[in-house]
Amino acid sequence: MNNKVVKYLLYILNIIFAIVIISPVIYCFNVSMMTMKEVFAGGFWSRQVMLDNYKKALQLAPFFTFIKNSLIVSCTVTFGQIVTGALAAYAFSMMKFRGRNALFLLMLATMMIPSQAIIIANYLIICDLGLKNTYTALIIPNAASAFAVFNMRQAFLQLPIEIKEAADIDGCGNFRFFYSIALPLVKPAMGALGIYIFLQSWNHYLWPLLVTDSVNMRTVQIGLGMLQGAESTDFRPVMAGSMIILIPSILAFVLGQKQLISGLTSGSVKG
Amino acid sequence: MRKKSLFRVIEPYLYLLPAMFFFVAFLFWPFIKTIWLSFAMTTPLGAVSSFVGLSNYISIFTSHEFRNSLIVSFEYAVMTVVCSIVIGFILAIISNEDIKGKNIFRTIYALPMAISAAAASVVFMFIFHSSLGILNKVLGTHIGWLTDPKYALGAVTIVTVWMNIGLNFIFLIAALQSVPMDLYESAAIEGAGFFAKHRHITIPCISPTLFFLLIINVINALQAYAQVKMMTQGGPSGSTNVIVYQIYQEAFMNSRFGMACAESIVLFLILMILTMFQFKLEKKVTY
Amino acid sequence: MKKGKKWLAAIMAAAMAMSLTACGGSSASNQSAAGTAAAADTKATAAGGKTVITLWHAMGGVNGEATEALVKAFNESQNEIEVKSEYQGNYDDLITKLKAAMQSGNMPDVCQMYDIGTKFMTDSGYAIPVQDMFKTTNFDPSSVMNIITSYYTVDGKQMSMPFNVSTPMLYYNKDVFKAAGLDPDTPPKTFDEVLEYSKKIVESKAAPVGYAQAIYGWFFEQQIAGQGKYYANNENGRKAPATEVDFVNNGSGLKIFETWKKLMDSGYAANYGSTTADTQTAFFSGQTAMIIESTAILKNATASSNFEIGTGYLPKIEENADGGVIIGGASLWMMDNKDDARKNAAWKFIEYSTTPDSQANWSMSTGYFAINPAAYETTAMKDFIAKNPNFVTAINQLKSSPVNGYTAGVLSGVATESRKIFNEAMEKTYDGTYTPQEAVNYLAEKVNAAITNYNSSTK
Repeated sequence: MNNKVVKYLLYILNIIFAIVIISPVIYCFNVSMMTMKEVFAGGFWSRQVMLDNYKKALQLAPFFTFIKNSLIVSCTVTFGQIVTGALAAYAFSMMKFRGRNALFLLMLATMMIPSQAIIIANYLIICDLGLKNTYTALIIPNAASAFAVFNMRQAFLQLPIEIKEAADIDGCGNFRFFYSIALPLVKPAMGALGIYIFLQSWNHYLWPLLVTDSVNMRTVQIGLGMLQGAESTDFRPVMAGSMIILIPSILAFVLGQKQLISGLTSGSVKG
Repeated sequence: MRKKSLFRVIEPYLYLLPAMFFFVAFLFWPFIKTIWLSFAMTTPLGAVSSFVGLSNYISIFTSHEFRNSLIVSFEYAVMTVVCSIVIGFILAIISNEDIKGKNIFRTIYALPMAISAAAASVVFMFIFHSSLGILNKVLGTHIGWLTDPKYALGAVTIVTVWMNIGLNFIFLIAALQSVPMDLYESAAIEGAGFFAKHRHITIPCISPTLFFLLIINVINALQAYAQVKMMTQGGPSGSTNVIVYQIYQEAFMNSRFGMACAESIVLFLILMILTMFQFKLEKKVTY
Repeated sequence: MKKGKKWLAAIMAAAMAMSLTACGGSSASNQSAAGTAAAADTKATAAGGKTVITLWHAMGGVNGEATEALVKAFNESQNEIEVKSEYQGNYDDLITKLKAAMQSGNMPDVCQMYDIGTKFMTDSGYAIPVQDMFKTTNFDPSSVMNIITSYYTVDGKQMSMPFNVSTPMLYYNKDVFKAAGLDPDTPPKTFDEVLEYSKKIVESKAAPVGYAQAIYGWFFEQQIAGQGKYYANNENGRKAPATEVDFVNNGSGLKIFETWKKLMDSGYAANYGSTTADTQTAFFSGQTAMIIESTAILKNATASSNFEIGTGYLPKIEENADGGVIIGGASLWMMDNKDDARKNAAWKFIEYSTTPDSQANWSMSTGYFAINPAAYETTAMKDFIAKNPNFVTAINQLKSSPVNGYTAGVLSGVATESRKIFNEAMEKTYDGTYTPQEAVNYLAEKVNAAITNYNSSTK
């Protein structure tokens, strides 16, 4: 009986939290359906379903091109960061070597460098390499991150030490252990990390603006910028644009959630 | 045998190589340039116009704006970090149970992450507006959330926490998945209730993740500037002038790149000290 | 499955690799970007012998569409030149990108730059003054209004061609005026009248707030010009680089702070902060009956408000014969890529943008002024004005503004920073931390420090 009450209470709590958290997104969606006068009349709900603002947004900026570009860049960056991160994290957590702590701290330090200080320098590097206006330029500065290394290291550290010991006794080499045993066990962490990296990359504005020039190479956040005026902005297409670029992000969740949930079946330590 | 052990010695470094390559090229090398520029006065274009030794640093430490930024950043960081992690944790716990629609709830909780800081700022600017905004309508108040120095930092915090809940939520729920089920089962047999179960099993088991989130949230809190840029521009009266916004302003609006580099170095050192301090704490606290 | 996701990512990576090779053609890749001449030639002679030039701009939304329309019209009007137009973020992002491009040799041929970037562009050494190009096509300088070009004239030479031009003016709610017993066709002309009207409006409960204005340095600069005074010494920095501000010595600064403080303290005005969109929102939603804002928001204002909008001249601190408004907005600059073909092509495009038809179309689509007086004589424009009487207010205010050193505005390399400092000074005056005198002194002290720093860094 107690269990049922708790479950019921949890359900109510979830609903309350969900409403509070999602209301800004709902408001954004509503404004994307409003007429201009409605926006300033101060209501929460829109009086009609109107797609004009979406048409306007697509007219002002080629969102489908931008979504394609952002997808290519974000997926590659996610892949890159997880691979380089998992490899480095494995070394930091499962191997012993000279300078391990110092190198870890050094790598961690990269997270603390404010991006404003180095963004122009990176732009100049890209220009010197002749990589302006390419996908490479959008991807390589973000191909590895200390965040990913750090996160995967924590995930590996959460694995019981008995597994590694058993594998060592069996004569299993490092890479085989890494690929066949350790990685599958940290699937939930990789799922979460994948979602995070994808969305971080999805939300980049200044870097893509600097290294791309032509409209067919631009990414989604620049598209949102193209909807805003210099002195006064009609916010409805901006909200519509935000909704448009939200859709691929939700797909990223759905994919990533599968990883998170699949970890449920491997929750305990397998023999 | 000797060959094998040489490989064994190099092997760890091979694992580090891919990541390190990118770090050196796009983080360390530009950072060295930043250090170098921090000792210079720069032209509006960013080139060195003259070397001024430590005078940038001296101006930083003697200016009352910087002291104000430190205080504002500290308040902002504490509020954001505590709220983001606590709320993220609560959300992870309540949506981890086997209840109807838990997938929908989980997607909703992670959703704010998908909204960029720019888009979120626009939406919240409407919500916080003193006359048109929903917040005042719902609360029945007339507060200038973004225009009153008393409330502005709180308002920006709310936006940041909203954006960060998703981040904390997904990592915590991932961590929750890997808490061994048998521990919960034994606890249930011993009659542990909801709160006891979480206090004695969940929190210790996910403490590496909590620690990780603490570090990440602190670093993020001290580096977030998009919300400030769009909603308050560091005001009113400097009440939201966090350090990193000050850096952004110095570099891109005042065109004093050398000074911005010096401020970046100072921020970097602060973060290093905070992080190292947290690591020392980890040794004492993690399970 | 984890493997599945990895395969998806691998496919993406392969797709990316393939598109990389395809995209290689869209940039002058494989060549070091440090060399400008070689890359320029490749660019310039592409597309079947046409000279290809790039335009960088910060126009989004409706203005972006109008810019694209102008570029398209130019491209279709002749066969020798093709202009590629590229959006580069808002004004702040654009100048950041331009500065980076200057360092890497990747500049465009024509670049839009906001008004307060004028000194930076002049000092950078990378811009070609448009005046140098007038003779090449017998361009008549009087085809652009003097009050507008004076802003972009340094040391007697016109540096850039005005593109999107605006001034501030008063917007008011005619319905509220009527309800408060005020004549809806007589807007207030001075701040004393603003206060008087606001009192009537609030006391008659016609609206919660009588007047509001965003905390914005531009308005401060406008009021100095409105009093017929200089912002900075050396004739606003145009005779010689400014070395300090003048608004303390000539008393204009103090008068502004005092007037606005009095207005705010009266209880009939409200402060919606420094984000201009928030003050606009307060007006559109009927919360405040009067605001001052750029002439460029008229279109949006009319579409968003549920009441009849009236417009008036920018209220003055006090009547003054020398006083007027300063133009704002942005202009088009020619960047020096050391290529004559591109230079001439860039000038031809800029010249095209000043023709009466181009200006008429631009003005009607965006709400910015037409810089060419002849544009107002076109039929299309005459019709437009007949249908939008509020627009006439803006035009008349511009025409009646005297052309002198005060209304030319200040030429400052630290304008962005000065406006930021102004925001702080004004906020602290409103909340009582500073008296108006202290605020003015604080503003002057900080701006002077910034000017000194700028001058020594550009030696």
